[in-house]
Amino acid sequence: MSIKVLQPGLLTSMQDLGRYGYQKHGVIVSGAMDTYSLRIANLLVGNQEGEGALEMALLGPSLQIEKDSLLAITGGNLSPTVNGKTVPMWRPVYIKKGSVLQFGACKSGCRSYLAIAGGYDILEVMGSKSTYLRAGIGGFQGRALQRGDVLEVKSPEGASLERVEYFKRKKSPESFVPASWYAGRKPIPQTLCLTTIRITRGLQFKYFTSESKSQLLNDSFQVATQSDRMGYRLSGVTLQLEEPLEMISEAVALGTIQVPPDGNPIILLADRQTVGGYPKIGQVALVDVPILAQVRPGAAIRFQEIELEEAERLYIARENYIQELETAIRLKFL
Amino acid sequence: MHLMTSNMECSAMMLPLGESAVLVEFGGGIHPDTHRKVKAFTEYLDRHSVPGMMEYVSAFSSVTVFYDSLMVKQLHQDHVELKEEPSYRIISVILQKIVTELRAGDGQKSRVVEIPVCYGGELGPDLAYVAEYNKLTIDEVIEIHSKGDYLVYMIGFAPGFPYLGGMSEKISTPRRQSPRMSISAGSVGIAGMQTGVYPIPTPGGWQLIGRTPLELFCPNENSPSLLQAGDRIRFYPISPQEYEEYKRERI
Amino acid sequence: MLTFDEIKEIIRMVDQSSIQHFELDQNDTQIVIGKYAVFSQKNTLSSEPDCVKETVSQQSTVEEKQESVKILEGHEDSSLQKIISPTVGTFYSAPEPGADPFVKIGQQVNSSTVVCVLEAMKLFNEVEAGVNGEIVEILFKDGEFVEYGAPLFLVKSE
Repeated sequence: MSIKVLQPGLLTSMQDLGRYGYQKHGVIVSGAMDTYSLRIANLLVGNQEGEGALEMALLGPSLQIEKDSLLAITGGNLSPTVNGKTVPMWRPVYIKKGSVLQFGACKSGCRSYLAIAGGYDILEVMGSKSTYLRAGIGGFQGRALQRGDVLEVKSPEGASLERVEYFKRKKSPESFVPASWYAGRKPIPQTLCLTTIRITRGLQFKYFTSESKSQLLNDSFQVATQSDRMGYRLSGVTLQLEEPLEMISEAVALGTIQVPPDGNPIILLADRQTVGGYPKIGQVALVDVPILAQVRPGAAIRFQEIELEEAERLYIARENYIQELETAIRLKFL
Repeated sequence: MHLMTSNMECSAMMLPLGESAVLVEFGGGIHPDTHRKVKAFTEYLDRHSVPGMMEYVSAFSSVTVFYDSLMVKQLHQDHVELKEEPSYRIISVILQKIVTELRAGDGQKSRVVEIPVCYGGELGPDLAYVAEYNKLTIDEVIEIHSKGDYLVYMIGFAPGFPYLGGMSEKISTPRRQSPRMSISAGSVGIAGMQTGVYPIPTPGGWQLIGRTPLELFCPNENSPSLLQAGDRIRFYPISPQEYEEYKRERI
Repeated sequence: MLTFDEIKEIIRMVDQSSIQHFELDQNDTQIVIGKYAVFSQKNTLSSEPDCVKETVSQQSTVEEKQESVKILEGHEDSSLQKIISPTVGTFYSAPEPGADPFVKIGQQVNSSTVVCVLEAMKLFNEVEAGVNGEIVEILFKDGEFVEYGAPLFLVKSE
């Protein structure tokens, strides 16, 4: 069973929750920019939450579905339609073979995720299906999708098969059959609004001027257009150290906010390198990384400081929430 | 975040890197002695798992341990002292204890890896410049570079990329004014006081003096990186014909 | 039996007159309309019928007055249908905060029109009208808890 790529969109690539265990070899983590949306998409179709899914950025692809399939679309709204009819998001949708699933321009957010029951048939590289674009490995042939690509899909089993059967039994004549319920989405940032991102203090926060510390937490910053999967470059006020700091390379984490000599902060994201030598002024709370991933280049953000304990509490609360959501979804199909 | 000593005469600070990692800082900058402590610590981690740990990344004077907050909490919910603590403190306590268990003599083992390099010509377009800049002949540059005994301090920047220490300052040369858009994999270069080998094609501003037919990044092998922190590297010159032969053999 | 338009007309007439209390009992329908004084510290002329009328009417529109008219249970108006809740959950009138509501009063719906969502266990269940007609009344507010079987909307069918 396969999906044919009629139009690839701007940047459509296979991602999962990332490649862990190889950073000491300099192999980056990659993975979905918005892991929350990817996980929910998978749970909706009965897959393991970390199964590979398509990440579609800004302008989505056009895909021909060659067999009746159950899929789910989450994340930002890239206007999915079949035969001109809007396909609702954040829920399982049964799509008939021969349908063309068309994505278009971004109505909200920045990145959308497409999970399919059974999962894409992609070879794991170093334990992950994520695409390491820079090194050309992993995912679909180590690159973004192109016109003419054919994605194989594994046959659904277990929970995902049960859900496919559930929709098949409805015997609907429509080209697609959405569930009449959906998972609550988290707030998707609107371009015209200022998105607040919670952060904890970085390891070198104390070496910055008091003015810079204050500006970090009070001013707004614009996400520059050159921002990408490696990181979001911010423009606005420039942040300065009290004195030049001799820094040697050390590891960085997802959400590390580093400040190069030009003073414009960079928030490190999925395709970040494993180490860096720039001072770290802050750390984005893990739960807010998926929100940040939906802020479009050109939009503005501001930071709000929280304590490390609070960041951890939020993380654990989010994990519990997803567990409960998984149970709720499962009960829908009993 | 307090200092403790061990019988390795070793102390470290535990610094939280957000809520997903703790950076263990040994201090002491770029120095073989510091490196030995880093190595001793990572060897311990290789032998004993830390509950909730996902992986670690070692650097010049630090080791960063990545963990999952929820897993750490769950795995310590019956621990009398630690169960009420946030995960970053639980991990810090565990890592502090490891520092105290390091013994003098740890971190000494290292492999010697010999890397064949075809110097100059098309494979090393900047060799002549490096020679001229340092007022040496090309042969002298090759001699100095290949006689060196280099320590791999860490792997980072790119998959399999070694940060090498120990290059003679006689051949140190500043980065190129205008970086190249793409440098071939295997290129051996000099940037300031550092020398290194590019494992994958990337843009870069290093002065390229030669190329190795070895693959430093092998995604399908058990260990995707040919080199690891702690290895000792020797470069040895090979001819262009030997280079071609080597490349053919690999295929 | 009075039609809805006729009821509207009665209310308008009472509103525009000096009548303070009006009752009509006709076959299946009973209507009670009352104008009550809103006493506030600023209003010292509250005993004056004209002022009372003004105090009440200046706060509200005709539509709001219609909502305060109770069409009493037990006198079933068979042209009005109920959309019944298929589950327990929390009522929301719009797909997400800040979005336009699914339906408004006066809007035409058919049986497959989604009229609201009921949230239960973190999932939002779309409720379809199940009937054709015009939305006449929305019986719950955002965030209110709904029992299984409770009427959610009143719909006037053709």
